[in-house]
This record gives sequence, structure tokens and C-alpha cells, in this order.
Amino acid sequence: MLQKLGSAFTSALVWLLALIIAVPLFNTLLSGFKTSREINRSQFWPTKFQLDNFQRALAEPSVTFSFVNTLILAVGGIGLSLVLCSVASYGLARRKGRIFSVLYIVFLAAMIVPAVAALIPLYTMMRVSGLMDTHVGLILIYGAAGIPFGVLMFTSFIKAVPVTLDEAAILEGCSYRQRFFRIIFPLVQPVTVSFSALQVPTIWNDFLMPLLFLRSKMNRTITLSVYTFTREHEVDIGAVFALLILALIPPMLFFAFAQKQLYRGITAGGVKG
Amino acid sequence: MGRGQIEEVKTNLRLLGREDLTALLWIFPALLVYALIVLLPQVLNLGYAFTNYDGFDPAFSWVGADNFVKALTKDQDLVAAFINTVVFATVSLAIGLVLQFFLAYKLYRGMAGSGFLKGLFYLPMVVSMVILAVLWSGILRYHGMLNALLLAMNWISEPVDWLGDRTLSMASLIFVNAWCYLGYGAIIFLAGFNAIPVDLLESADIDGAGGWVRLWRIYIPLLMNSVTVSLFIGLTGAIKIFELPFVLTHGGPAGATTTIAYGIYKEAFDNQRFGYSSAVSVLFTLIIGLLTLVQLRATRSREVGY
Repeated sequence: MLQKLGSAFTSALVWLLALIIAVPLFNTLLSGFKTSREINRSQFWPTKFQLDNFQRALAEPSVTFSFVNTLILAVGGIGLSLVLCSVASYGLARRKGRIFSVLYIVFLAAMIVPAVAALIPLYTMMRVSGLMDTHVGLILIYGAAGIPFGVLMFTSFIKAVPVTLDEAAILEGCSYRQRFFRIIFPLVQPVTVSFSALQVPTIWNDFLMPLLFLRSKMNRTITLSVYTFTREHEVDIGAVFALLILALIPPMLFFAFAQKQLYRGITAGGVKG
Repeated sequence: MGRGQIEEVKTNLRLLGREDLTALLWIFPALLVYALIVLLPQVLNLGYAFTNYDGFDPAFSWVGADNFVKALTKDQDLVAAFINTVVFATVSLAIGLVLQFFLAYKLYRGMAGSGFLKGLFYLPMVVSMVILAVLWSGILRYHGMLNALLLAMNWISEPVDWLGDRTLSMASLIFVNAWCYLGYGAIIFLAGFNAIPVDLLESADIDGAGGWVRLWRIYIPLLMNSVTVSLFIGLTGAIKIFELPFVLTHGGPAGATTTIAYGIYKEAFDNQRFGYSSAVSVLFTLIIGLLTLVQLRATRSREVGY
């Protein structure tokens, strides 16, 4: 009896926690449809669900652009990491020479150091190289930042592929390139998926790099556009909430599709920058 | 060894050498990008730390270890930022770990709606901290939703300055951070719970171990590994915290919520003291690097069987 009571009590506590998580999100959802007056009066339920806020948020062209920009950066950055890492990892996983194990450790070394320390020199490097305020600059940064983890994932996966497959291909007269593209590359597709699932939120949600390296309005990412919009339109709180709703849609969709993938990623050791 | 055999060995060696070269050639692009964009900045940063570089003027000069001496002995703001960061990280983790463990335990034992709850708790983790911070500022600001609610309930007689008071602003940041990480930590613990062998629990049943005995004798000891993982992910995340103070409090009031990462940012990009900021970030990197190494060791040693 006592145990049942305790269990009911703790279950109630869990639902209380759930409420604390859900209410701010739900409040945002509702506030996007309220007038600014209703929000400032802290009226919980909108008198009428109106879409004016969304219209005003999207009237700023840079807001619409920011979604495209973020997509370009995520696809570009992840694509770059994937190409570089998959190609490099074949050699790192298969060749036995000392130089390969040294290179492998060099690639992983950056996992230990935080990105904060690299920001100051990167700032100068971007300015000097003319990559400041370009998508190419950020794609290079994101692509490079994904290398340590990408090399780790691809190399350990390829190591688990039986060497006999390679040996058979060598006997058939396959070159290094043919072996990679015909045998290894089709087999590593699960890593491509799980690596991308980990990198999408990392790039999509990044704020510091766009803040430092993107200047012009039309280049802004979603996070940067939410931040600047909030500062510039502080009075128009309704539009801010509408923009927040729009900004929440992509991560929620991603979550809906990649939920299993994400949980598995955590279970396997869990990495979040 | 016959002539044929020697020839064969030679061809094999040549083939091996060629394969190595091809492999290196294929590694080269990744190495080049990595060296230029990941390694070079770290090296440059170490170099800047010994200069008075302002970020623009190329005619900077070497100042020896001055920046480090200043950082370690004279900079009161940095000491304050360090204390803020430690307070933020410790309290966040202490609250976080207890709640995460509790939540995971309940989800593991199974309760109505646990699939839905798992998703709900994890959800904030896929959203950017900046977006969550903006969302929370709508609730916590002076004329925000929380004050309106509390006023309507008659629990307070005038609005509370959640983000402007010295103590409350830090408490608010800690709360929002715990709010963001709750589900993530819970899922780590849940994975730990699920990894506990069933026969162990069955024999506990046979021995008549009750709920509390199980919790203290089985779950907690066997979950120490998950605790370590969650602890270090939370710790390195909390130490590097930037977005929350940047958006919610701007580091204020009077520096009360300025963390190390935010301080580094301000010194470099607001005050144009790149050299000094580099020195601070070198020290910061050392701390984080050390913590990460400890974490790696701890996680490796966790692969011990039951």
C-alpha cells in the first residue's frame, strides 16, 4: 500500500516536471497567435488565433533567407566532412604503417580542445583570406570541425569490415580506388546516416560562428536571425514569438524523423558540443 | 631463398609501398583542411597569447608572459567569471543529476505515457540554446509571463526581477540550463538502466531485495558509469556556457553572470584585446582538455563487466 502510494507520488512528480518542460513551449506556440497587447497583458489563451505576427516576421526578407542559408551551411558542412572523412578513413583503418596510427591520433586530438580557443585566430584568418561573411568560410569551418568525430566513426566502422573482402578484390585486380568505391563505400552508409544525424543539430543550432563570421543581413542563419530580430523588434513581441515558432519547426521535424538515431547516438557514448 | 621468391617479396614490398602512398594521398585532403582550420588556429592562439595584438593592427609586439601574469594574478573580472562559472556548473550538475536519475528510474520502471514523456523531455536538446534563451526571456523578463502569473495568484505583490537581480539572475540561468539538459541526461541514465542484466534483478527478487535495497545495492552502483558520462558531458557543457548569459542577462548585472567563455568573447570582440583574451583561452583550454582526458579515461574503464 505504502509502496503504491509512493509510486503514485513519484509519478505525479514526473508529470510535474513534464509540465515545466511543456508549458514554456506551449506558451510560445500560443503567443505566436496572440496580439502584442494580449502577450503584454500575459493573457494565456489568445482571444482569436490570428496570423498577423507571422506576416510581420516574414515581411523581413532576411528571415526567409535565413532558413535557406542554414540549410546550405548544414548540407555543405556535413557533405564536406563526409567526403573528407570517408575517403581518409579507408587508409587509416586498413594500412598498418606507424604513420597511419600517428595520423589517426592527430585527427582525434582536436576532440580534447574546445572551439572557443580557436575563435580568435579564426576571426583574423577569415578576414585575411576574404572568407569573412561568406558561406564558403563557414562551410569550411563546419566541415573541418566534423573531421575528428567523422574519422573516429568511419575508421572504427571500416575496421569491422572483414579484410577478406579487400583481399578478394585485390586478387581480382581491383585498384585502391575501385576497392573503396565498390566495396567499402556502399558498406559505410550507416555511418553516413548516424554522422549526419549528429551533425545536423550541431550546425543548425550553432550561434557563435554565425555571430562572429556573418555580417550582412541576407547571410544570416536562423539562430542569428532570431537573435537580431529579437533585439531590433523588442516592442513587437508577437512577431518575435511567431519567428520562434517558425524556428522551432525544423528541429522538431528533424527530431520526429531522427529520434531513434539520436537515442542510439547517446547510448553509444553520447557526444554533444 | 630462391630467385623467384626474392622477386615475389620485392614486388610485394613495392606494392605495399605504393598502397601506403595511395592511402596517404587519400588522407591528404582531410589532413590539409584539418591542419589549416582546426590545428593552425590553436597554434596561432598560443602565439597571440604572448602579444598585445588587437585583432586588426598587424604591428603588434611581443609582451612575453605578461598576459598570463595578468590573468593569473591581477584580473579581478576573470576571478569573478571563474567563480560564476564554477557556481553555475556545480549547482546545475547537482540539481541536474538528481532529477535526471529520478526521471530515468521512473521511465525505466515504466509508467503511463513513458514514450511520450521521453520525447518531450528530450525535445529541448534538438533546439538551439539561443532560441530557448529567447523563449525563456519572454517568460522571465520583468513584465513577463512568470511575474504576471505570480501576481495573478497573489503570491507576490510586485514583479520580481528574475534577470536583473544579482542572485536571482544566476539562479535563473541555472534553472534554464537544467531545463535544457534534463531529458538528455535522463536518456543517458535510461540506457544505463537498460544495460543491467535481467538475471541480476531476478536473483535480487529471489533474495527478497525490496525497492530501496535494490536502488542502493544494484541500480546506483551499476549506474556509476552513466553517472560519469552524464557528469562530464554536463560539466564540459556547463563550463563552456555562452548563449544563456549572452542572450538572457548580457553577463549582468555588474558581471554577476559573466562566465569564462563569455568573458573571453567580450575581451576579444568587444574590448579588442585579442592577445590577452588568447592567453585566457589558452588557460581555459588547459582546464577543459584535462577534464576531457579524465572523462575519456573514466569512460574507457567503465567497459568492465558485471
